[in-house]
Amino acid sequence: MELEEIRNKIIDAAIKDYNNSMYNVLNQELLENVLFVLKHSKGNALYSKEQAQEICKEIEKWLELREDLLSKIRIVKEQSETHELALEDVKEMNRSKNHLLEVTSSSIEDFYISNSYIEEVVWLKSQETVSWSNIDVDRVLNQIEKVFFKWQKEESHWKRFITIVEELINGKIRPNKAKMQINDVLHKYYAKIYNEILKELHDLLEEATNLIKKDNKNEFLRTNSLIKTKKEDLDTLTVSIKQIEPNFKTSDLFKYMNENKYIRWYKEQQDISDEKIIQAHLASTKADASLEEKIYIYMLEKTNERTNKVISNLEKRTNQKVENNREKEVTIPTDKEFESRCQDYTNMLEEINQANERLENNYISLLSLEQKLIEEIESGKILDNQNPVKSPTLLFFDFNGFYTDMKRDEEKIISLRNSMDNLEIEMYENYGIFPFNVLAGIEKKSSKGPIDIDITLQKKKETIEKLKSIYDKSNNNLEREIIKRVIVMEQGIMVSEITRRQKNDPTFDGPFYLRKYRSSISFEEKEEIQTISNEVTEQVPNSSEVIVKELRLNFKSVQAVGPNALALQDEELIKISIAEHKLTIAFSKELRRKLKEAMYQLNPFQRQNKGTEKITREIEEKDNTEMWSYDLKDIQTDKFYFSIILKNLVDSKKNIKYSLIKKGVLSEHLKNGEVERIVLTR
Amino acid sequence: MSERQTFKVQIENGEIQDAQVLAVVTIDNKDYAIYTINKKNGKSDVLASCVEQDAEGYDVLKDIEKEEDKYKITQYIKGLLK
Repeated sequence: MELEEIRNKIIDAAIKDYNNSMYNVLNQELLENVLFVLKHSKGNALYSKEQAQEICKEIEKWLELREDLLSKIRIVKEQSETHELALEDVKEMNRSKNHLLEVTSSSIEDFYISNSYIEEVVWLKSQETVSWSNIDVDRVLNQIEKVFFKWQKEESHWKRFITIVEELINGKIRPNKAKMQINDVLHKYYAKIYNEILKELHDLLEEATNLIKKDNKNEFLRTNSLIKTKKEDLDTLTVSIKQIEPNFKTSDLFKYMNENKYIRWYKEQQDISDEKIIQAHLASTKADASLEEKIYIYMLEKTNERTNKVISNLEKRTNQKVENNREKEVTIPTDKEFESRCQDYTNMLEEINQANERLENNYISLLSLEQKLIEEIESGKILDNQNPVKSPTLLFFDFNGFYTDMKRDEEKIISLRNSMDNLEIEMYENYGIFPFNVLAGIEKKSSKGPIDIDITLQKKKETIEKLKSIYDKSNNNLEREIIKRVIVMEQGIMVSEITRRQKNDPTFDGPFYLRKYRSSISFEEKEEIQTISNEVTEQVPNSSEVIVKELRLNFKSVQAVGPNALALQDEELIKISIAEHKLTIAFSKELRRKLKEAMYQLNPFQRQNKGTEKITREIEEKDNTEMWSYDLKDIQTDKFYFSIILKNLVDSKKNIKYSLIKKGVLSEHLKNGEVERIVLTR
Repeated sequence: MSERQTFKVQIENGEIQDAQVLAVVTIDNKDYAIYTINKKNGKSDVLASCVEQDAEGYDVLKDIEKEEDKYKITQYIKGLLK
């Protein structure tokens, strides 16, 4: 069985039944074994310490995902039982399943030791001239999966196997001895499997014999099918052993199974097949009929006899009942009543058959419904309105064609950005607009010293007025949009420049210039331009009181395109507050759900310098909100970056852009643990 | 790109035209359909309606009455453009 097939089976089984034992084994034993290997593999040729740690992380992540998926499966299972299968749950489960598959493939495929690996290691080490570093670990690791998955339920064999490997690696035993011991473990393992299959085969054949005696065709066919499967299992096992040991003989295993009643039975019975048992009953049927045909013919022949027997039994029972009724002086059933009961019996059988059929059909329907739901999720919501829409709300008039494909047409959006860049250059060349960084660069390089702020800002104001004039006259939506954004950007630059000046020169009257130039802002983005930094810096610091009670982050800088783009339109999704030396970030669960749905990861803190300082957080849930609290006393340095980053975890095929919501510097003067001032800059 | 869903829209002059669905989005627990109507000049109008369900569970596209709702959808689309 291929790894992919095994993995798919595991996932499918888990979704259909979260109690599925194979899946639980995968969690409990497989991962324990893997961790066991990793723990003992540090510093040797298998992996470096760093690699082992990475693997452990992957496994832990896998475990976490598994738990997550299990809980979802549990919910979905419960809901499906009460016919309340929610679209969101199926969607979430499907996404988790896919993610789990990805993580599983990356964590399991790469890291396991195989029997072939052991063979190879034993051989190489037997040469004595080969060092561990020369062993092609990757190649041999890929060989282990089949063996590993077969061994996962065999804890004792597996641990013994690992012990031998460890002893070999640590030089406690010689390679030849290791090989002998491994072969011994292998044979014991195979013997155990053989024994289990033989036991099942034994039980099935006995059951089959009984069923034939009872004329139970359906059950017999089912049992016979299981017998065939078990025989195939035996053949498959033999073939797989022979792949490892070409000279292997089944009889080699018998020494491990001495005094075993099943192997004795198998030896005695091996020439008695189910077919022969049937043939004994079907001596008169044609020789070339298939087994099923023979059974069918046999059953037909038995029909009359069985019918007679059933009727006879019914008569006996009826007579008995008549006798009992006589004794109890109850009315004796008439012939008609008897026939009616027979008919009832027949009807009941028919009903049971129909119910079975319905059950089967319902199950198929359920599967197709689930598939349909998943398809619907993947293709986006489909509207099923029947009548024409009579009162549509017009949002944008005469949009350029590419706007209509805005959700997916990334190239056009990039083209729009390029247009803006070109326009910026034009503005610079024609009107003398300086982007902020250019302005600072000129000032730094110029021998004349600081640029005259009055002249610079006056020029900018004039430029903005010119742009506004163009904006008002333009009939082109695209052009208007671009100009508006340039104006907004320029106004923002002005504010930033004033803030920068104020910071560098205490005599500079920042508030005066802010008031002066803020009056030039007339667009709806006015508040947006002022930004958090203005609101915060204008507050008077007070060393003993909380300065900032609440900040609201602006999500307008989110840039996400693609089918799974994260749509953040609610500015209240994240709230930040500082009180009692605690910095608290509160996320609505809706946002958390969206982030998860869009496969983004939230990293609230990013250290400016990669120090060893540990910033711990406490998580609390309340009123549909998740709150992360940080103790500012833990932060020893006076500067650290505060950022909330949506990190793209999806591969490039999904076409999701990396997005940065907000990045700022929290400049803290933390004296004796007291917050004095907070500055957030864009 | 997959083919977009279309449906009929009656515009102001009574004429019925085909609209193409851009997206169905949920804003503040309300579903909105955003769609376009292609015009002869090679450009398009972008329109939106509130999605509700009738008694039989079919979608019904209704007028967006509140100006603030219209503003939110507009902002959403602008957000996609940035």
